[in-house]
Amino acid sequence: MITDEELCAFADDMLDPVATARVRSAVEADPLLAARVERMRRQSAALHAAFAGELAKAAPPHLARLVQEGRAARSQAWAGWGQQAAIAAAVGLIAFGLGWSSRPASGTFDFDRRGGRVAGVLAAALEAQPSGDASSEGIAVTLTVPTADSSFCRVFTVNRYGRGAAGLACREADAWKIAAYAETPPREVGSEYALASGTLPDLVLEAAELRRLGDPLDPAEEREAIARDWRTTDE
Amino acid sequence: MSLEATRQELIGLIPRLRRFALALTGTHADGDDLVQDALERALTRLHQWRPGTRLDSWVYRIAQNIWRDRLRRARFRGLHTPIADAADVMGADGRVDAEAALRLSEALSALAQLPWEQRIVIALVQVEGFTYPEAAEILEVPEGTITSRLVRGRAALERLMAGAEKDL
Repeated sequence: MITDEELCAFADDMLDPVATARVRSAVEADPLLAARVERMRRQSAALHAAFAGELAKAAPPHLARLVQEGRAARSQAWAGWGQQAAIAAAVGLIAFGLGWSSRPASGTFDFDRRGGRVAGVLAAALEAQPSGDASSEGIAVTLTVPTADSSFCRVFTVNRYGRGAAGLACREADAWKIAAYAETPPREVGSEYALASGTLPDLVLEAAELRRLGDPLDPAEEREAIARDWRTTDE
Repeated sequence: MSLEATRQELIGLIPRLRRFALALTGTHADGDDLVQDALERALTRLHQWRPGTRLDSWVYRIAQNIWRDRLRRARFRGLHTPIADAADVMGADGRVDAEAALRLSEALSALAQLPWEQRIVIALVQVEGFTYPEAAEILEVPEGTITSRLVRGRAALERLMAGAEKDL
């Protein structure tokens, strides 16, 4: 019995010699199997041919220039969302790797499950920690976005005690309240792959969607907001 | 490897990355945006790349991660994945090789209809020519996952690209 997977791998020459021999004899004995292999190979050839011309096309010069100059222009607006989340996760991980495993946590953070009012180290981070900065107490703030009612929400990630989480907190009446909070798989310490795949949980994205959040603040705007204690009206 | 040598290697990867990004996004413009983001992210994290491992796998991994994040954001913002545009297949010199253009636009619109997991695997294996173990390493999934996504992706493409196949 030949599975679809085996047939696919056979068509791509990805089977080991023993399995190749077994599938080959089955294919030779069965015209239907042979026809399927033939169709798979033709499809591969068609796809390959369709994209064959792409390698010869001239790339926009700014791409090579970017690498050459090592310039990492800040991507605009939400384009930075996933990127900054991943960076925040990476930063959280590095801090974790350096200190957390050997040193017991000194701070705690907490929020009331119903009211969602944030206290402790998380509140401190939301209040004063610039986005993208190295994590403090395993907490990294990812970005800040203005709300429709002239306040702010901030996305944060947590990597503490071998657990991971991400959340959205919004400032209401001089306090940070949790709008969304979701556990994420704890980051595997020391794996650079874990760093590259930092993504925000759907729950957090959906909370942001519900609130119709705008484009994130740039670092200067954010510094100003922090300096003004998140107040947006002149008093 | 020196930083300069790594940069040169990254630059050398640009044509392949553009092709991969085109297969994922469906248009050259979106693909080049993706390549730019991937290069920027790679540059800011070069210290995380382990010399001795493949730079290309690492950058492909970054690119597909960014693309997946973008899809989430697109859904999040109520946008839709752009449909491949036939005008987009024009060569850099402005001439259109009609037959190649047709083939490419047909392939792009078929790919655009695949679920993203399948699209990534098809792009890695069938467009970029990575082996199953290489694709598994890039996506950090078991090889069996690569094979099962390929089987499903191929079956879907077979229906979608029926026209293109007849021409071969």
